[in-house]
Amino acid sequence: MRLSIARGGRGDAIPSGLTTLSVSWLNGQFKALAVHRGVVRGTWERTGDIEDAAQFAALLREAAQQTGYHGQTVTLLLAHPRLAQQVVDVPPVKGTALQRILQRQVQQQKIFVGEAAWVCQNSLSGKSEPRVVMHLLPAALLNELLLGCRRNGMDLAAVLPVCAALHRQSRQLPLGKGDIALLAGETGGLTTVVVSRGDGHMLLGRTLPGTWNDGAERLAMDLNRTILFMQQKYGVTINKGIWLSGSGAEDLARNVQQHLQLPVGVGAPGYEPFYWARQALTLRPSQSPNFISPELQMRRQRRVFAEVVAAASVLVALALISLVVYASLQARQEAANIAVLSDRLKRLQARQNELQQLAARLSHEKQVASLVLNDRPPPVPAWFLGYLSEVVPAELVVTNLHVQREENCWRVRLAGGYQPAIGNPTPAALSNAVSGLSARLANGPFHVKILTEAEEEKAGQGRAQAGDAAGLIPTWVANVSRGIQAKPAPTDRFTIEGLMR
Amino acid sequence: MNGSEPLASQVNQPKATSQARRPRSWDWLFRLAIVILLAGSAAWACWRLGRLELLQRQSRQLSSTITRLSAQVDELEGKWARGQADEIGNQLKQARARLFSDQAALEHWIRALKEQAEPLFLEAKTSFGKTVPLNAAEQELAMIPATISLDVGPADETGQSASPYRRLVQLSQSLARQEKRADLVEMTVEGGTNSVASAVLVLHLWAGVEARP
Repeated sequence: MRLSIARGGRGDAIPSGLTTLSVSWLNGQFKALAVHRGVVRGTWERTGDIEDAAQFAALLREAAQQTGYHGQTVTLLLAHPRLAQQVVDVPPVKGTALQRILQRQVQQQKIFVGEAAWVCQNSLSGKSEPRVVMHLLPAALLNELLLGCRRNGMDLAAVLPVCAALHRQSRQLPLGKGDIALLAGETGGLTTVVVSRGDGHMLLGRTLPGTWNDGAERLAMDLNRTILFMQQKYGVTINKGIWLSGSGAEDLARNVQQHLQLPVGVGAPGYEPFYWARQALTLRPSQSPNFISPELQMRRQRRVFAEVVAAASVLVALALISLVVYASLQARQEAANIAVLSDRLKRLQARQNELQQLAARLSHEKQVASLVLNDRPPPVPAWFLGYLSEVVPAELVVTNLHVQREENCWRVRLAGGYQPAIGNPTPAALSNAVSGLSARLANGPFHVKILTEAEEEKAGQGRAQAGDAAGLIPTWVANVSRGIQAKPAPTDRFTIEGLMR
Repeated sequence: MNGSEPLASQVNQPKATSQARRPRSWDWLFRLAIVILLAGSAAWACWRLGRLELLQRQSRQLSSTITRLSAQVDELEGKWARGQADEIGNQLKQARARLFSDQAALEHWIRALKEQAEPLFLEAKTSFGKTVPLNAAEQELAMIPATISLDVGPADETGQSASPYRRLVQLSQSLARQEKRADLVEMTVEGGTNSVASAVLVLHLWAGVEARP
């Protein structure tokens, strides 16, 4: 019976976009594979065995140089004498209680001094209690690995036990759900064994005491012991077969087959020196027994995110500061403008006040000048006095003249009599002479409007009413006088009253 | 617990991994610093922009006021052109020349009146009434009522002089021709059948003083 394994399955492909330095450090053999965006760009293998973790930083530096790796992350597949697996039965509890129990088991199961870093994965239990496979590693060793990466400016994304890669290989085997198979692989000269069931559960992981090259008989003996151990300790019977992976696995499988009843096959037909480093790339660190906690795995992303946030914040702050600087410059310019405008406003206000005062002064001066120069009334009384010599007829003589300026006109009052030298006039002669005089006054340059007796009386009343209460007194006196009629008015006298414009 | 998935990560943290936990306080400090940086910058920017807006508003208001004021000043300057102001100044100068500016001018006018009346054998007596301000606000102009009582004397012994009427006409017209403003507003003449005996002339003398600055 020949056992075979599917080659180049979908799960073997390196995820596109993955950039990492995949390192297999198996019992002192250090091999590195530089991958950039899913493509292998370089490989490097350190000659000789180095198991000291303190050398990890130097190895990593050299690996990066030799492979031309410029990425930031490192994936490490580890097989180390102090990396051990223990199968532990735990009570059916969860959460913190389970953590405490596991922690207690770690303290009991560890075979080294000092604190332990550990990670568990589920296993199959034949009883009712759950069972886990516990991977144990000295915390100091893990610390050295982390520091080695950090010294090279890299982040350790995953530290995976080589069992994980071997266990993953079992998923490509043609196993039924209840089939149990044993996989043995060469890991840096030693042989690591994983017992796995078809449903994906890992039942055992261990490193055999003999080396890969000790011969088929020795290997067959160790494998038989493991099979018996599984039967006796856990009641598990390996029923499907044994698969070998490593250099010379084909020949070794044929030879081992001669010593074992179970069929023996080759687990990795395409085995090459960087097989394990390449296998590490196909393991998902978050779904594999990874010694690097999710928090540490996320640290780089968090740092990048923080850097992006910081850079964006600084850019925003710089933009805001630029805005502030711009606003400050604009504000300074506006303040200067305001100072200039305020100064101009003051000058304009002063100029306006000056002009308003000038306007008021000029207006007043114009009014004064106009009042003095233009509103001067003509010397009408003097003119009228001179004119009388021309218009008074020879038979009349003027004895009284009164010319007075009123509001808009001149009031003229002439009184006189008949010329005594001519003799006593008849009323008709006097009337004719007075009429002639009145007619001349009404014409000519002065256009005197002669007032009738009624108009004279009305004008007199009007003047009296215009006065104060005392103005009524002359009216009473005039009325009384008119009633008394002491003496008749002389017939040779005349009075003319008129208005001139 | 599923298949091959890890059950739990390491419980005992190595020194290097424990350093990953420590920055939690630094995380908060970092976040706080970012918030302070952004909030501070934003607040500062808001403050400066607010101040800028205030200044711009002031500047706009000032510009608007200046524009309005400039238009008013231009209007005032156009209203009172230089030539017009000079013309008004000249008119005012002429007007002031016609006003009685002080007591001496008044006394001079009285003397001149007597000098004109005496050759005409007219005896002039002058009395003044209560001064009436013409523009009360400034009290710059005032009118002084002056009453001139004239007694017409007989002609000289030679008989060569004109009649009383002619002499009165001559004097009254002479008074009207004077440079100083003396408005003849009333005249009363009385006489007999032969001649004028007396006359009363009422004049309004215009007086003026320099306006107070």
